[in-house]
Amino acid sequence: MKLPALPGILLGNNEKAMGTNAVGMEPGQAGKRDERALIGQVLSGDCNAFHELIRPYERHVYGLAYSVLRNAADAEEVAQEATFKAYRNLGQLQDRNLFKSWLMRIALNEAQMKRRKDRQQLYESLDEDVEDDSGYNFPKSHADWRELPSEALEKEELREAVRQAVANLPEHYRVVIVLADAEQMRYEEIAATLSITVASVKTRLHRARLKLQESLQPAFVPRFRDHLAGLKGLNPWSRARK
Amino acid sequence: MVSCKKVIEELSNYLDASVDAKLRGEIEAHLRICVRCDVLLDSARKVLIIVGDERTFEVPIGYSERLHRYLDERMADGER
Ligand SMILES: [Zn+2]
Repeated sequence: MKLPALPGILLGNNEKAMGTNAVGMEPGQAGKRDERALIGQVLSGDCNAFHELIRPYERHVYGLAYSVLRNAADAEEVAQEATFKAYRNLGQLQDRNLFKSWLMRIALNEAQMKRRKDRQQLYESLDEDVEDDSGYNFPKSHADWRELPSEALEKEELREAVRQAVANLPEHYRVVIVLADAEQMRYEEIAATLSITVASVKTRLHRARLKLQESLQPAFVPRFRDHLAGLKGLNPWSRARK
Repeated sequence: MVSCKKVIEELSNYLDASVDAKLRGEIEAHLRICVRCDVLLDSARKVLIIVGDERTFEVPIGYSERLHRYLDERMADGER
């Protein structure tokens, strides 16, 4: 499924707006999908129902695995294994309304297990679980994109700079940025996935967004100075995300 | 008028449009006179657009097909 480019019109933003849905339900699809019935079908032996059950979440599962592992092949492998694990253990799901966050937690565990197995934790562990307070200070330095017209945001070079900057964040920031801002999951769902409170999700996301500003500056500014000079005079930026 | 510190604290809420109208007005008044905060919020907003662009964190081509094929194969093994 090809989604439009701007977050303002992504499906995910509707999800956030419809905050009253039960965690794990896919808003907008809730009317068409009876997830609890699908789960019942799977449990009584209908394999095809499982394909249908996971379809709305397969992108999130990959995104989450990627945010931990930072490698497409590893993330895909983990997504496959985690999804199958969900199938195999579906009978253990306590509350059928919580399938989505349950699936996401399995994916998170699998991804973290793989990361540990690959011994990446040697340089990763230092920045895990450190809730520093940098979010309440100005980033030491950050990019000045005020003169960057909206057209420039379509450039692959800029996306690559952002990908790199996200990849350089500590894992707990990476995961929350990807789930909230890339996958556009609702904060309640992210909280359930990470087993933390909604308030912690917001705090962590806030710090992650500020850290991202800080780490973007060196990557971005020199490479785009020339580009900016060529783009002067185009339409000024307008807000797309409400 | 709100301080720079307050603006930074509210950055995420502001971007999510989850500040009330009064605070939003105060933040926007601050942005008109404070270049530093204006630069930061403007950049943060643009980064948010790029992160949310599905091309930035794309699933690999054929991911979904491979996933469902993998599931079919494992299910066929009778592992449950
Ligand atoms: Zn200021």
